[in-house]
Amino acid sequence: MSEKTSRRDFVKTAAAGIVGFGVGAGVGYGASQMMAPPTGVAPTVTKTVELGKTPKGVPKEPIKIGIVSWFTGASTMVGEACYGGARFAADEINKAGGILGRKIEVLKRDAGTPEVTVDAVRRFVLEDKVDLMGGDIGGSNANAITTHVEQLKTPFFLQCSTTVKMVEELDPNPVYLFRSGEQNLAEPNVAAQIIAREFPNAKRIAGINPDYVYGREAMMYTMKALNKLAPHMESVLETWPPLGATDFSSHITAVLDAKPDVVITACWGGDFVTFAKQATAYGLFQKTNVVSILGSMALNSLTKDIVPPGVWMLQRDYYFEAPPHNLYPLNKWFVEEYRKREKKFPEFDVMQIFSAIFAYKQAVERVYAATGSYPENEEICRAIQNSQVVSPAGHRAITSDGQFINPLPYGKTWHDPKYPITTIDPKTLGFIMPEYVYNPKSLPPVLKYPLGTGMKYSDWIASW
Amino acid sequence: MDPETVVIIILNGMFYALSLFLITIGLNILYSFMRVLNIAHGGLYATGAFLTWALMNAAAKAGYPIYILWLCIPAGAFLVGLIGLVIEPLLFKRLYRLREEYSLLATFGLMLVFDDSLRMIFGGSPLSANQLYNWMGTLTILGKAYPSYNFVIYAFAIAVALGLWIFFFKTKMGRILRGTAQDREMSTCLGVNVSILYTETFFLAVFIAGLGGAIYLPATNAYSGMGFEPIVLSFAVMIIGGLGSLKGALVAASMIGLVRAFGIALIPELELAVVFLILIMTLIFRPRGLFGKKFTREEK
Repeated sequence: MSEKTSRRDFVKTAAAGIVGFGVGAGVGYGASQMMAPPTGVAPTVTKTVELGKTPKGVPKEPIKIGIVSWFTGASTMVGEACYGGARFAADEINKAGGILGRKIEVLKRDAGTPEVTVDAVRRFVLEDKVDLMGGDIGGSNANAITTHVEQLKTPFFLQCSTTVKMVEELDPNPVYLFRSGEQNLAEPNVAAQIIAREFPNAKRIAGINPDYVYGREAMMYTMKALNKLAPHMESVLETWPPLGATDFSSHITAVLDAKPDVVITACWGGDFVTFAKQATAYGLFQKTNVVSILGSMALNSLTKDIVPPGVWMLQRDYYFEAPPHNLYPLNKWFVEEYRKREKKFPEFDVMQIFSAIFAYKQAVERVYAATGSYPENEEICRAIQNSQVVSPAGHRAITSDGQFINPLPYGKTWHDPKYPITTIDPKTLGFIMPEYVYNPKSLPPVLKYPLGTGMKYSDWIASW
Repeated sequence: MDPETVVIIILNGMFYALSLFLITIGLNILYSFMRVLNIAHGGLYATGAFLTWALMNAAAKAGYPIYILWLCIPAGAFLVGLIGLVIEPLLFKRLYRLREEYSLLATFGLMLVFDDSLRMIFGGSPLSANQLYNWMGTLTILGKAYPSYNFVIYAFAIAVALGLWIFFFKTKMGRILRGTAQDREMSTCLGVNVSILYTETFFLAVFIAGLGGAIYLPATNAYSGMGFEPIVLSFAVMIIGGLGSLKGALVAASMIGLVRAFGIALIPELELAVVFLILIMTLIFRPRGLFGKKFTREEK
C-alpha cells in the first residue's frame, strides 16, 4: 500500500470487501479442509508481521487477555483448556516479539452463575484494563454478558457457548462479541445427519442428556432435525441425569428397557466418562448404537477401557488428528507443542481460543499497516469480522456477526495402538460442511444455504 | 416393564442408596456426638476418591498385583482419616461448643479449601481408576448385564452399618461416646478424656467419608467439585432419616434410592424432584425425621 489510509476509509473498505471475501473464503475455505496448507503456513503463526523495526504510536504496555471460564467445580477442565490455549498462543506470539512489539499477558477469572460471569467481565475491563477477553462460559452466561460486552467496547471471544438466543435475539449485530467456537447448536444437527445416514432403518431413538439448557436443546434439536431427515424415527425415552451425576445406572437400565435403535447422549466432561464406564458394564454399547454429541470434551480422560470402538462421536469444531498431520503441518506442530507443554492432547477449546487470539493479532497488524496508527477496539473488531484466520483446524471463516466457522469433524471411535486414549478411526473420520449445520444468516454470502437472511435456526430446520 | 428389569432397577436403587448412606453416616456421627454440621464432609469424600486414585494409579503403573489395588481403598480412606487428625484440633475443636450455624459457615469455607486444593494438585480433568471395576467384570442377572463391582459397594456399606452398630451399641467405648453426647460435663467429671474421645470419633467419621469416596471411585471417577452434590443429598437423607440416627440414614437412603430408580424408569422428568419431594413431605408431616428423637421445647 503506497499511501496510508484513514481509519474511516479502512473500515469502509473492510465493509465493502465482504463480497470479495465471500468468494475468497468460499474457495479457500472449501479447499482448506484436506489440501496441504501453502508452504510457510506454520511460521505465520509464530512470526509477527514485519512492520519496521520500531512501530510508531504503539502503546508500551503489554496486551492483557482476560480469560473467563470455569476454574472451579465439575467444569474445571473447560477453564483449564481455555487458559492453557490462551497461554500457548501468548507464549508463541511473545517469542516472536509480541503484537507490534507489545507482549501479551494472560489473566483469568472464574465464571459461575450469569451474575458472577458478568461481574468477572466488568472487573476485567474496568479494573484490570484488559484489551480482549475470551473463554467458554456456557450458553446462559453468554446470553448474560452480551449487552455488557457491547457497552464496555472490549472484544470478547466466546468459545463453546452454544446459544441460539444470543445471535438471534440478544445481540444480532454484534461489534465486540465473537464466538470462536461452534455456533448455534450445530452439533445436534450433525448428530441427526449421522443417524439418518448411518442408521437409516432405525426407528426408536432414546436420549441420556444432562438436565440443563444445553442437554435439553441438544435432544430437542436433534429430534427436530431427525423429524425432517428421517420422519419414521421417534423418540421413545428421554432421561435427564443432573449435571455432575455420579450414577447413571438407572438411566441406562431405563433406556435399555425402551429397546432403542440409537441412543443420543450430550453428556460431557466427567459425566461422559462416568456414563461410558457404566454403560460398558451394562452392555449398552453392545446392545444398541450410541451417538455421543459432546463426549469428546473429555478427550484426555477417554481411556480405552472406558469407551469401546464403534461409538459415533462428534468432535465439535476440532479434532486433534484433523486436518491430518501429514497434509497439514500446522496442526501437527500445534498438537506436538501442546502435548509438550501440557502433557495432553489439545481439546477443541484450546484450538478455539488459540485461533481467536491469532485473529486478534492479525487484525491489529492489518489495521496498523493500513492506517499507520495503533487501532481502537472497534477498528480491531471490524477488521476481524468478514476475515479468515489460519488455524490448526484449517482456515476458519469469520462471519459478519463474529462467528468463527469451519467444517465439523466426527467419526467412529477405535483403539489406535499409537495413542493411550480412544480416538477416531481415520476411515470413518468425516466432516459436515457449515452450510448444512449453521443458520444461513450467520454464514458468509457464498456459504449461505438456502439464500436468505434472518431466518431462525428452528425455522430453518422446519423449512427442510 | 418386565420382571427382570424390575430386579435391575431395585439393584440400581440400592446401589445409589448405599453410596448415599456411606456419605451420610459420617455426617450423622459428627452431628449426633459433637453437634457439628460438617459441610466439608463432601470435601473429605472427594479427597478419599482422589487419594485412592493416586495410590491405585501408582500401584497399577508399578505393576503390583490386583490385591494391592484393593488395599488402596482402605489406605486412601486412612489417609483421609489422618487429614482429619490435622483439621480437628485446628478447626473443629473450636466449633464443638458453638451453635450449628458457626459450624455450617466454617465447614463450608473448609469445603471450598478442599475443592480448590484438590484441583490444584490433581488438575481439572476427570481421573479414572478402572482396574477393579474391569477386573470384577459383569454378571448376568436374569438375562441382564450388571456390573459385579456394585456388589462390593453393597457389601462394604452393609459391613460399615453393621460395624458401626456393634461399635456404638455393644462396646464400652460406644456406650461412653453415647453418654458423652448426652452430657459432656458429666462424662468429664467421671474421668472421661472427652478431648481424645472426640478426636477418635472425628477420625472415624472422616475415615468413613474417605471410604465412601474411595470405594465409589472405581465405579465412577474423581473430578473437581465431586463433593458438592453428595453433600446436598446427604443432608436430605439425614433430615428424612432423623438427625443422628444410623437406622434412619439407612432407611432414608434406601427410600430415596429406590424411589429415584423407579422414578427414572417411569417418569424421568421427576428424577431430582422426587428426592426433594420426600424431604418436603417429611418436614411437613414428621419434622424430626423417620427415626429422629423428639425435639425438646429448647431445641425447637
